[in-house]
Amino acid sequence: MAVARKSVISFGLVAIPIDMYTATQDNDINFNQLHDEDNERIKYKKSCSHCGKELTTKDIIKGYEYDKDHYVVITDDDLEKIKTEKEKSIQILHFAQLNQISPIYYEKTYLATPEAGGDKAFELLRAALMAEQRIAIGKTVMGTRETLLAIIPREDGLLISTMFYEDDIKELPKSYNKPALSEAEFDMAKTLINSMNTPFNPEEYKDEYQGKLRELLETKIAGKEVVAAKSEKPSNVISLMDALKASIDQNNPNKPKKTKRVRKGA
Amino acid sequence: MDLFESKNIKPMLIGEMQDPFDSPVHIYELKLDGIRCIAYLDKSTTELRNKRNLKMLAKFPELADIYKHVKQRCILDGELIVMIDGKPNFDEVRRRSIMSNPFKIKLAATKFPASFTTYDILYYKDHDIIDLPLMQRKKLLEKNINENERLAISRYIEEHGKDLYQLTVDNQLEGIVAKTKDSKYYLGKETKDWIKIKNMKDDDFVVCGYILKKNNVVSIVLGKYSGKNLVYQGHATMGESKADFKLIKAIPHIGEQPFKGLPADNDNAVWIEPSLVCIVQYMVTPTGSLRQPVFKSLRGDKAPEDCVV
Repeated sequence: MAVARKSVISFGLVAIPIDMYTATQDNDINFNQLHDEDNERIKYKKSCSHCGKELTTKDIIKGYEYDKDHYVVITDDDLEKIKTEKEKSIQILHFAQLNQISPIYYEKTYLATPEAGGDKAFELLRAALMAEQRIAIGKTVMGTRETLLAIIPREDGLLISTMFYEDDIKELPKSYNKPALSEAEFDMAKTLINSMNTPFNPEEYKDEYQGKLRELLETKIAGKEVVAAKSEKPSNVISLMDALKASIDQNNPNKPKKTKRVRKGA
Repeated sequence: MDLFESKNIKPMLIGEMQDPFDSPVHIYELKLDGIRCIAYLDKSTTELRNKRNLKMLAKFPELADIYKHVKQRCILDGELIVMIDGKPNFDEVRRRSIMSNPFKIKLAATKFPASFTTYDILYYKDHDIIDLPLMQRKKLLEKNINENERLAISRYIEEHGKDLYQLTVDNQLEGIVAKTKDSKYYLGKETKDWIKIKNMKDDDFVVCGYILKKNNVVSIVLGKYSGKNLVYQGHATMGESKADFKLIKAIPHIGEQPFKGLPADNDNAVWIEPSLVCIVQYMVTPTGSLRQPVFKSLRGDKAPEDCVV
């Protein structure tokens, strides 16, 4: 897993160098589009909707549609000028209760580990957050955007989740009635919930459709590979090394005992 | 702290490159073209880490059972390789190492399974043995391992370095490594006790841009730093389908070429921010210029500023 980014958590007077890795991945099967006649990949060509000319990256600029069919052109220079100053470190602003933040605010999660020299301060922060059941709220610059972050302790390492700003969150689109509940109904519902209460075990849940899709693909690929596999000799590093060694021994017949044999396992 | 428990080993590195030689105080082994790894094996688990201590088993799940083929708890140093057509194939190892989809990994592991070829043992039973001389470590290594398709012991020969080197030339293998028989294992050190003798040379360059050519071939424009300036170093070719090219394409473009002077055959180049470092393989010409330079892979463990003329 490649490091997604490097950063520094600045916390009071200490700076903790960290590596951030993406925490989740999409394991779904993706298909490619192919031409039905020759099974070759479909390529996209970009062209102008007005003159029909085919375009390359060099011919393409950015515009913002402020009204139907009306654009303002934005150049890279324009964007460069308003870029937030590159503040690569994560500045901790304050600490909060772990369970106080609604999950709606969490966007993308990274796993963080300390870089060389940061082990002690990293572990101190993690252990203290864990003991107090707190998370840290911080800010950093990612790309050109100033990003809000939550630093969440785990038994092993820290999670760093990017967060939505307040104005990114949509309101409930319509109101609905909340009829009065009778105590009996309310108690019954609570009893039902409690009777079905078990810990959440993520490993119990699998996408069964994806599983079947993989099986289907494996069967089809195996059918295709049968022909190819038969013509291939098993190529093994042990036989390669033994062959080379044997040919040296042959060239130096005077001292065959000098080259030590590797004993085969029992 | 205990080497096995802390799992934080930085392997010993080759500190010298030489022409082939014969020597009674050296042994010679094949230099296998793969990923250098340290394996921590005990009676129930395999833990495989690369040079930067990243866990490798998720990418190479077919090696999860190699712990079953050692007799005592141990730490092994070696090369993770994939054999195709009788030779270690670096492209396939590299392709796999940047895969993340478990299904694609499973398919690749079935088609081109990897193996771990070990040439050193650093820990045996309950203590480290890095201070033992190399030949004693080799003996322990042979004693402790039952070879199979996934776990092999590197073969070595004594004295006849030139002969072994010639064989690697004839078979188009990467080259050989000479090691002094009484050498200790120095963690994380570049050492002259280990000498590489290579067919192909390689060097690190800054990826400055690329030129799309015919037949899905790409020329990568190479540079190196001289002080603060990037100096043009020529091209290396690669296939457009290589996984590394995706990473190169994703780097933001820059409007102008980054060099002071530039030869004419770079008109169609796309210039990118000089933020990637790559390894290029080439034959050496008497004049020192690159001959048949081929892009080998990106390397994430070196900063562009460290590629200097």
